[in-house]
Amino acid sequence: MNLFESLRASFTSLRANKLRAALTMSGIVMGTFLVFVMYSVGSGATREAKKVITDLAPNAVAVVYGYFPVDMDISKVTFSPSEMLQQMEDLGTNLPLISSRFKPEMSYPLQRELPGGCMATPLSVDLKRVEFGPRSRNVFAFATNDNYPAIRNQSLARGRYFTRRDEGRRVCVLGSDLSLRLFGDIDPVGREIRVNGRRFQVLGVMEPRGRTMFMDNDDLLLLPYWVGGHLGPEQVDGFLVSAPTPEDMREAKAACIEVLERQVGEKTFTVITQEEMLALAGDATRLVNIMSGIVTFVGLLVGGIGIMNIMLVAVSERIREIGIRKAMGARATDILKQFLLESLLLGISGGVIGICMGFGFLMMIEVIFDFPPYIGPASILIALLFSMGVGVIFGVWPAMKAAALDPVEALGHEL
Amino acid sequence: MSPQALHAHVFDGMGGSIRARSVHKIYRMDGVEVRALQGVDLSLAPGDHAAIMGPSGSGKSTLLNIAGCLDRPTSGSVCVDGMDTAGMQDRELAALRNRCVGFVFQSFHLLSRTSAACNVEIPLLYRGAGRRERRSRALEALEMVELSHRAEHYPSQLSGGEQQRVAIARALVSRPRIILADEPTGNLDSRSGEGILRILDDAHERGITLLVVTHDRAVAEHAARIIHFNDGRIAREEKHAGDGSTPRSAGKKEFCDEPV
Repeated sequence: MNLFESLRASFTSLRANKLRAALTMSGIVMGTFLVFVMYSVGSGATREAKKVITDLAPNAVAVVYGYFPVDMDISKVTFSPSEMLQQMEDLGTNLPLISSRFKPEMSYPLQRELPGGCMATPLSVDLKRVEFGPRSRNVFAFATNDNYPAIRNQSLARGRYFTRRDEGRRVCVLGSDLSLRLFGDIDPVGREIRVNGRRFQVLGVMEPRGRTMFMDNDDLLLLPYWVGGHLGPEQVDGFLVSAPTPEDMREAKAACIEVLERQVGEKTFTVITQEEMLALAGDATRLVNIMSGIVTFVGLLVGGIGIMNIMLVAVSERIREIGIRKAMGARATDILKQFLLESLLLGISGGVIGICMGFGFLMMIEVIFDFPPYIGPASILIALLFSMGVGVIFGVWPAMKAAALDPVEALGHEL
Repeated sequence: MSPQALHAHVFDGMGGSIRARSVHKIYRMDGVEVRALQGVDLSLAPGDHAAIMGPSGSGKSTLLNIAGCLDRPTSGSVCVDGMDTAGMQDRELAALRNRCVGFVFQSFHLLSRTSAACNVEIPLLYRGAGRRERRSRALEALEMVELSHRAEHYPSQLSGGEQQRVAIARALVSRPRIILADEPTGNLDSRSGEGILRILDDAHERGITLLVVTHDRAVAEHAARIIHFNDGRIAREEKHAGDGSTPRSAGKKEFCDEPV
């Protein structure tokens, strides 16, 4: 009996019990759905995180106030709030972003001590209300120095960036989207806007850069460090450094630690390189993968047991049919094949439905949370293989039972 | 055994023969030993027509199942179509059933979910025949039992006699040399039964070896040999004209009051 004939026979018998087949499939549908969604969201999140990190700056080194042991294994971090607070206290640090002993002028000794070609800027983040005429927006504002465009490898579409010669003046540079939303087609260079009610002169507009997961890089305001972020002009959240090569990046990290420890003391701040950030993101991905693995396993069990159950029922219902087929010359392998194909078919159909539902769900996530899950061929393949695997693995035992039936007993079986 | 070897065998003159030598069959049911066959010797030459009669539990059906390679003897040897089945593996027995033997059962044993034609195709399916060949041979077989006009009907849409004719078509479709029928008319009214017997007689006339298990004396009298079973043994054998007339000669042992 060739494969096509076996498939036809399996299909016929599934069609004879449509409702039962559908109910059986619900487990495998849910399982495949979960596997597909988790895998897509997980790989989407990883991709986005990596994009955010690599988008930061070429060979970036970030310095933030507050100590966090970067080289620790994230999978060993506990997530209970009380333990986290305890850990913070043990580390003797203040919560970052609430207070900082970094001062903007520390970027000058930093710049001097860094390897050649490296550039540093102080960096503070704040949320500001920006107004022009009747239009207003709440946007993220970065306070930086004149190295910022070079560090982020981003040029200006119009006007210029602020320099030290502007020191003391209330000036700003707009992201391309912010410019478009406030000014439309009007050239904003030289015009005045209000930032949190105070008047600022627009010096320039950045080239568009695109968005990453957590923010729109073009819908932001760039302010000089002397204006300051949420900590005021005397303090900054941290520093951002870019290096020409990965080697320089590692050296730059050492230099940052050396310079800043002299200024603010040991273990009060964190220096993290792009490599280390990617490694942390990788750790987080592994954590997500472990959790997806558990979900996958549970899904497999639930879906598989459903399939096994119904296949056992199907075998016991069709004992006489098996006897007839054997009397007509079917070999044990023919019977095995027929029932295995049937459970495989159940698995695949459930899988395809689960994947379709997953597509719908992921599209919803994308719309609602503005987060692009990554639906690659790998997610589809994994979900399909999962459902097929469940169909086969949990179909083996019922199919073997069917194949091993004694033809005489099977023929005499009463329904 | 390969299909080619099997074919060669069928046509070397032994095709259609059945030979059982001191066949014993012991079942174990719930720890109790049941001696279904206790030393049966039986030879059917190619083209023979024999009927087995005997009370329930006398081992008639067991012998039929063993002769058709559905079952294996506990001891003794069985040669079907000239081939010794003793050393055969399950898949070889399946091939033998598929090519050399056609079964007809009391309760028809059709698959209810498929049409008459599809039922008839089943043996060809397990032989790897192509779709077109299966269909044409199935229709041919249905023609032989005068049911080609009902090929697309499902078993539930057919009368008992028609269902049994489909079953006979299924047994004939693989062009076997042997047909084994277990109470082929047992579930039918006498008129339908007559039709079935006529078809089986036709098959015999075309050279097929026919072994029929029956309770019904009238059915048995279609056969040239009537073999009486009792307690798992052959009690006696009558030779017969095979046309419903009186016995020609008596068997080796005579038992009185044979229950029917």
